[in-house]
Amino acid sequence: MGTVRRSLRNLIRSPLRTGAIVTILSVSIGLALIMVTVHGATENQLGSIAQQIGTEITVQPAGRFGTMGGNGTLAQEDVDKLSDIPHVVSVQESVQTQYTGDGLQSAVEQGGPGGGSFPGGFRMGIIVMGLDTATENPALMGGGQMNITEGRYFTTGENNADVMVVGQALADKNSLSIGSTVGINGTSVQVIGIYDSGQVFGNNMLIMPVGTVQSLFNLGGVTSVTVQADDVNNVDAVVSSIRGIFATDVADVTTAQDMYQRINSSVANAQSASTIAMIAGFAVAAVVILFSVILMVRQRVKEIGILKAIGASNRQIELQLGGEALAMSVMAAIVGALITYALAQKVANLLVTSSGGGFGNPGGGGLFGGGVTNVAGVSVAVSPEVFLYALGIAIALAVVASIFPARYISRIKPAEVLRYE
Amino acid sequence: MSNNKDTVIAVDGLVKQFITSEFTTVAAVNGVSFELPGEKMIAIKGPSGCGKSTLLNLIGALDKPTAGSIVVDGIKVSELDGVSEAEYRLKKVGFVFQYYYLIPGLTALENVMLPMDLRGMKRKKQEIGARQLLERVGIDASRQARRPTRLSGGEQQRVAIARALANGPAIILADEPTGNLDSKTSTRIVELLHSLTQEGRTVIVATHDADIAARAEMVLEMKDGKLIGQSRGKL
Repeated sequence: MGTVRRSLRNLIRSPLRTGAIVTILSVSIGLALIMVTVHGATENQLGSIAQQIGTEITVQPAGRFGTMGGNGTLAQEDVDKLSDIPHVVSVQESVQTQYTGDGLQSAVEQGGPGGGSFPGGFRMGIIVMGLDTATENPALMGGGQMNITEGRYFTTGENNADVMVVGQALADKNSLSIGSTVGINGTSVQVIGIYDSGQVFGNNMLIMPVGTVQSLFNLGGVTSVTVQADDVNNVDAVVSSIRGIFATDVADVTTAQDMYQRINSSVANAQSASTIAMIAGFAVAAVVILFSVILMVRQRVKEIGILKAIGASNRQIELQLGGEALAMSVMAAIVGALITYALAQKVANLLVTSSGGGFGNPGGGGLFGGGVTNVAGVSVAVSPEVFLYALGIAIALAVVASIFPARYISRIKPAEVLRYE
Repeated sequence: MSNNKDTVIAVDGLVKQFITSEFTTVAAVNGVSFELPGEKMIAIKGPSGCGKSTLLNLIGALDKPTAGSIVVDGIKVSELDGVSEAEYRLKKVGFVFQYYYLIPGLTALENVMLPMDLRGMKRKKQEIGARQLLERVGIDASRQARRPTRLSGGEQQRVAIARALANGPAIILADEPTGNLDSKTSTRIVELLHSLTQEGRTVIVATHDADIAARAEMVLEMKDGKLIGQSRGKL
């Protein structure tokens, strides 16, 4: 009938015992598998968040916000040192100032109490932005990306050229088209492109090469530098090096990391919780199977004595009991894997929610609002590989369960256990 | 100890001591020496606690002696360990116990197949052999599929004898085989055991029953762990 057959027969012989052990094992294996799955999902999510955080570092004159405040510009000689910092892959300079002439009218009118532009309202100033000519698809102040709708952007040789790209709204307001010229501080600047950023403020700008803005507005440096680190893990080191060039009273250095901190910590906490629960699940499963086998051995001392008396070797008995442990573990692993399919996402949601919640505006309607599911929510995809994990766990548990009782089995003396009825 | 060519079992200066719960040492077998011929039924007779079961366990390698030696068919039983001990129990001897000690979860047939299975015999061959043995001891096909709890005491002991014979051992060791049976059934079991000697087996029966001893070709009498006599045969 074979060792395997005997093992299976013994399990069927005691359905209540087998059922109880398999149930407890299923729960603990299921817990461990859920946590393996959630752990993997949170790891992916952390990676994704790291991607979202990006590697951008912004350096601006201390106290400056947009075109306002701050101590003028960052000295060009200091800015030039940034590209030598280890882990820096690019440095993009920009300069911002306000158009002060009277040749152009702002396209943005801030309404007064009556809702009209005048009287009681005022016009927002026109922002002049000097950008690196090598910048591709630049982000604009106030949000939005530059999308050239007519003409072209600058070429790399135009860093000091008297050319500009204007926002659609500003062009419409001032009847500007490709080839038009605008007098700025005594210099005639030609419109070579018109863009649309999709934003009201973004479309009310004049974009020129950095050198042109510095020259026209007599600026000795830049008002903002965007430094790109090679890896999100190196951002802190790069920030530290920037701080070595610019003191805190000279420049503000900001990263996107703070913004994502809460989301990151929420998912990281969920990952820690899932790791602990995974270890607990494995430990419980190991303890359950170990105690089950020890109990099985102790309950069946007489049977083991009989088997020895009729010629079974210790190894044969160990294999039989190991087979029983393996069969129970495999049954529990299958049930545990099915439990994982059903509950992994729910547990992940629970863990992320209880580990810090979402990041959003009051009311939950913002970019990161609406609870955890938008950004911090962990999407758990339970792959068929979970069955392989389950099988691995089952085999590992059976091995663990077989090692410890082996010594006990070898010490059972048939003459002693069969001496008394 | 002589080297009689008919000698199958030779025991020399055998001692088995136990430590009691009061930490005193008690000798269950105390300096026993004898030689036994093959193909006979030998009874070890004596009152309860005289050491006859311990002696049987030592011969069957179910226990280890404190001192002395046992040689069975040229095998130094007292020196066996681990795998060789299991192999000796599997192939050389067959045990019959007072309480039958069948595996309750297995049928009568499966209980008899078990030693063959442990030996690695093919399942079909096991089944044929086990059925033949069960028929031989008087368990017909209709009762072979029953579990031990659904068999009478006499039937269970017959199944136990069939199991003891499963791997064709030269020696059958029976410890009070009729201790749990009525007199009529006991007589049949003793007859069955005795018939095994006709097949060339040596049967050693530990008993305190004088009727069983009367059927044996040789009787060893024990008291307080010592051999105090023999009858109807040579020692």
